[in-house]
Amino acid sequence: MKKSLLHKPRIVRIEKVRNESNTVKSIVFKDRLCASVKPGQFSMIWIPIYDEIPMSLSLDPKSKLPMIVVKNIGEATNALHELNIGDSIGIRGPYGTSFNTGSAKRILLIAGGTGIIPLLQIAMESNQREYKCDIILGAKNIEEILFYEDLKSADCTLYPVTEDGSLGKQGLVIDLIKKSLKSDYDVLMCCGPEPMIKSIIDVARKTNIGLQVSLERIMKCGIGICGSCELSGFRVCKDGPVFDLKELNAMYNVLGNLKRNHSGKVIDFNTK
Amino acid sequence: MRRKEDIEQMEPDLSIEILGLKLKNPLILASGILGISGSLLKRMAEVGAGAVTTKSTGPSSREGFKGPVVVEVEDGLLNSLGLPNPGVSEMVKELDEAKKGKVPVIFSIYGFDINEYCKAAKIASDAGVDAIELNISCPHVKEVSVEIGQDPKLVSEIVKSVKETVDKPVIVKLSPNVSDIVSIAKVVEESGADAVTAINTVKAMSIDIDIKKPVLSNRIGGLSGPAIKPIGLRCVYEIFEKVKIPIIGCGGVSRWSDVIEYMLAGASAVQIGTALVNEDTAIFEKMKKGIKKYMLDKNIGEISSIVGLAHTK
Ligand SMILES: Cc1cc2nc3c(=O)[nH]c(=O)nc-3n(C[C@H](O)[C@H](O)[C@H](O)COP(=O)(O)OP(=O)(O)OC[C@H]3O[C@@H](n4cnc5c(N)ncnc54)[C@H](O)[C@@H]3O)c2cc1C
Ligand SMILES: Cc1cc2nc3c(=O)[nH]c(=O)nc-3n(C[C@H](O)[C@H](O)[C@H](O)COP(=O)(O)O)c2cc1C
Ligand code: FES
Repeated sequence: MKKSLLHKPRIVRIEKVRNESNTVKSIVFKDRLCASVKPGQFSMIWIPIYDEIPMSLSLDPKSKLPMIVVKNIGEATNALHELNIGDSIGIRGPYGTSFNTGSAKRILLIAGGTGIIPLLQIAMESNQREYKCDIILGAKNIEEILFYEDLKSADCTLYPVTEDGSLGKQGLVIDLIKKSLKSDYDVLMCCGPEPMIKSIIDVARKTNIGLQVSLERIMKCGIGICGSCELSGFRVCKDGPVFDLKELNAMYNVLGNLKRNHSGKVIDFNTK
Repeated sequence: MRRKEDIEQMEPDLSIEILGLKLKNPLILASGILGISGSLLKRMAEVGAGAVTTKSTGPSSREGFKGPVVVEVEDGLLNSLGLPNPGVSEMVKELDEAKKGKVPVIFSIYGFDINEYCKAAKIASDAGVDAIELNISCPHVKEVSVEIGQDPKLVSEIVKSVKETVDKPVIVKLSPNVSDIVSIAKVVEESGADAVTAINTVKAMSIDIDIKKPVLSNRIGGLSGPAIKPIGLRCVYEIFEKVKIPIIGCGGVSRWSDVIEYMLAGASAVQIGTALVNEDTAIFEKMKKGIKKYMLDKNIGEISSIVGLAHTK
């Protein structure tokens, strides 16, 4: 019997494309393996001719089909934005660790900008689960707030924060957390810019609340052998992308300070 | 001669000596597998590798190819990363961390010409590596290695020059993509190399029938994993018959019995790469356990005693 090749891209047809903001599109497709994705896991997306890049996987709140949510920041993501219903992409995964809701009763989701993408599913599924979610949804301005209507319809309490005050409180996510973090959360689940994540680690260390964070680094293989996604001795693709507080403590000094570029050279985190 | 009863009571000895280095076991992490990072090399030592090899680096940095750079095929993995590397001068900065793993660190280098090999070897040697492996066989960067590895005269000049430049043990990693690997191995030995590694990946490709295009962005890549084990094994066996310097077996070592097979064929140690995809970091301890059990079953006291036993004289 021939076993299927797990790490060969499966070609899927795009079923739906939706604008989530001026710079962010959802791309919805059918795929059996991705349909059982756990929140926080990612896929390697092949855009033929262009590249293969890592993308968080989630389920479309509307159709419940697998989807990726893409911000166009470069060549491959721009190419993804050009695709339409009926076009093909290749996909392998789901890969990596996931957010673990375990026995948590109260979860605080903390999202900065596109950081909501890997957290979306936890919020959308909360009505069928044991836990209850609050969500801090931060962005520069109202235009960059993603999935606001979907999240409003979910069984969660939403706290939007924008830097210019165009939606919700004015300020930074971390200000809101420092001011009003309640101690009855079992776990914080977080994704966003690394300086924000570092501040959240600082906060979590002073409490008994658990912390799980999704991180990003440049990925080439996605299956834990090339080393390009290395962060303090962890592989973001295989040991992550979701890390717990113990792991985050071990990588604290590197977070927000250093990363590797495509050649593998260690560079300042803020380069380019 | 040790008595049988003594052997049965003894813990099987997995340690080996190669290139004047003492290895706790014959399992070496292959080049290009996690070796871009010192802390990952350290981690592989901590999970049981007997020695570790760095990612091949050359005098200047390379970003590598666009994706896909890896794709699974039947019983194997194809890769064409395009030798992404930060350059030797950056790579040696990873050594301090790598050495905390307390196993020998083999430093893999490549180059476009003799000068580049020597330059890279000098920087690595000055940084205090335990041994240098020359990647003359990487099949997927045009003009780099496949041409060098296929040209016995050039290979010989490179090995001689590198040996003149540095005092470290020099291993030459051979390509299977040649018509006669044994003659290349002989040239390498005559030029003064201290050991050979056989084999690097086998040139291959994969085409997607829906997209109707090669999957790898570079179209052609190198095949590794179980599919190439019989090829690697044959190469080691043939080289052992004609060459006296130690051979490091490589290619599709996925379970403990593969290690035994390679050693019986004539390998003094093995390198492990693709097996990490399925077994991840547990692979080294798992293999060590299997090898120890085999040694107990067969009354083998020292693993080095089986090297080349498959050659009946
Ligand atoms: C686990 C994981 C999940 C991700 N999920 C999503 C997602 O759900 N939606 C989304 O829009 N993006 C996501 N990304 C980021 C996405 O992979 C990059 O934006 C993409 O690879 C950029 O490709 P490009 O060719 O468009 O840009 P490029 O032209 O390659 O790069 C543009 C800029 O982005 C930086 N960059 C390149 N690759 C990465 C990377 N892997 N991570 C961070 N920065 C990078 C470059 O340094 C450069 O400054 C994720 C990344 C990871 C590692
Ligand atoms: C992702 C990947 C990257 C590799 N990079 C290198 C490299 O930089 N230099 C090198 O000499 N060999 C490289 N190789 C080849 C391996 O070191 C090894 O020779 C080959 O994979 C066969 O062994 P395996 O079947 O155990 O993987 C690479 C292999 C893989 C799979
Ligand atoms: S992307 Fe290759 S190890 Fe993570």
